[in-house]
Amino acid sequence: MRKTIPSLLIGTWLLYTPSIALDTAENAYNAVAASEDVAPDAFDDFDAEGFADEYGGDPAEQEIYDPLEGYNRWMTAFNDTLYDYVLKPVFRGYDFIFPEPIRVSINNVFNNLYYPVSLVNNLLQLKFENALSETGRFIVNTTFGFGGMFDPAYEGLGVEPHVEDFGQTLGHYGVGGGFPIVLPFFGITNLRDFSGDLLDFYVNPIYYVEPRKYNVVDNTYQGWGLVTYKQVNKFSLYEKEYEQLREEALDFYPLTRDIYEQNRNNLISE
Amino acid sequence: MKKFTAMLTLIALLLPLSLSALQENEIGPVMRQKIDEVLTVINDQNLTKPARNTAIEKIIDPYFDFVLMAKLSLGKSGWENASPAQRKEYIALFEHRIKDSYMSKIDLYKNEEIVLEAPQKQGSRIHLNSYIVDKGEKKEVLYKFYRSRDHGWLIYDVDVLGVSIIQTYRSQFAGELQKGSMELLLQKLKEPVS
Repeated sequence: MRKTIPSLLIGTWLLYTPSIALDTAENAYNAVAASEDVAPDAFDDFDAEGFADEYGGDPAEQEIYDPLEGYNRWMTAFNDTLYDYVLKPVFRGYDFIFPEPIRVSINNVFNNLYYPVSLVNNLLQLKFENALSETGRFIVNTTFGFGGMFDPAYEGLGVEPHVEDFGQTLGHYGVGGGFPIVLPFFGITNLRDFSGDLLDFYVNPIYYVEPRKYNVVDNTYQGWGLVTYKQVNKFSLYEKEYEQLREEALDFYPLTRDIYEQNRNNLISE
Repeated sequence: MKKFTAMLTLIALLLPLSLSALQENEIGPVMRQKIDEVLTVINDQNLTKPARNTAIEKIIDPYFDFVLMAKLSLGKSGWENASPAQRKEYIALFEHRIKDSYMSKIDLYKNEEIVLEAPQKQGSRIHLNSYIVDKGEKKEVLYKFYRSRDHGWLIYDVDVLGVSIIQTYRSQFAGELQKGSMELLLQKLKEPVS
């Protein structure tokens, strides 16, 4: 008896010891197959019914409305080639001239200029507190943040951004995504957000809108040039993320579609 | 000798508790501690990559339910249509893949300060939100816990920027199953992620 109790206990302890780290899938397979912390019936029953609601039923039965799928796939592949042969080499040179902190500051300037869009959409969604805090952020960051290069409103005062765009406003009032559309160079969006972007044009100062008083550029071409530059600069900050996503994807286009929708829905629900 | 056995017994009694059964009120402090441990390992310049990954795995393993994650990702019909051998292989491949994916991501954010918010009860689940501020933008990572049968609270999903990891696996795996078969999916999961 005196011997059995300790050995039983040591046995239990061994049972609970986390499985040793695994280097290859092969080892992982053997270890999981032999592992004792997996309940013996773990491979029999699905027993994850309680989660069905959370993920919207069985994935095999979920259908995605994507009438442009053929085109979208083609354009995703096109953009990906564009990335490899044009953007990536451009990023190499760009990174040399403007190291990351500078590019972050440039991105901050563009984010700061987005303020009119964010203000209008916060107001349209009746988020008055956020409209006010966005205004405060714009004033503080434009002045103390040197034209928006830095973010003292958050770093010093802890005021977080609450950015809203027209796509989010439409979503807020119940407009669904419609269907996905992959744009050349700008990447994936959907019908709702694409329409929202067109409305954004009229408020965002970096586009050129003739009858408006606050254009930062002189004509439409410069406007598009600036929009493209904003996008290139931002993308240059997320090269590694993009490449990782691409490597991990079983099928790249549906993954981008899924991530885009989930991310947008999350932003809309906030 | 008697003392020694008694001590061993005590250790044996305490270890499994502290290692695997996370209590509801421990989620916040324990996760804080584990994340800090992971950060210490990542910033240790003397470790080789494999050694580093092993160390990180040891820290995080007890808090994830990889089998459940694998099942949720495959979905009920996908699971039921797979043979027992395929299920075993699938779980192993899945666990390997999700860890790989995690390891490559933490590298991108190793220098950031991670802020943990207070755990929130969501029905029968607990959500623990964390964020970093990176490149001028706030980036949220949400850990979702459920109460398991005998191992306390475990993570079953992680949302990155509002995107559920499990949900992305679900639509990807469902896509592969529609195109082909379980065999094809397993084949794809075996391809190394460079």
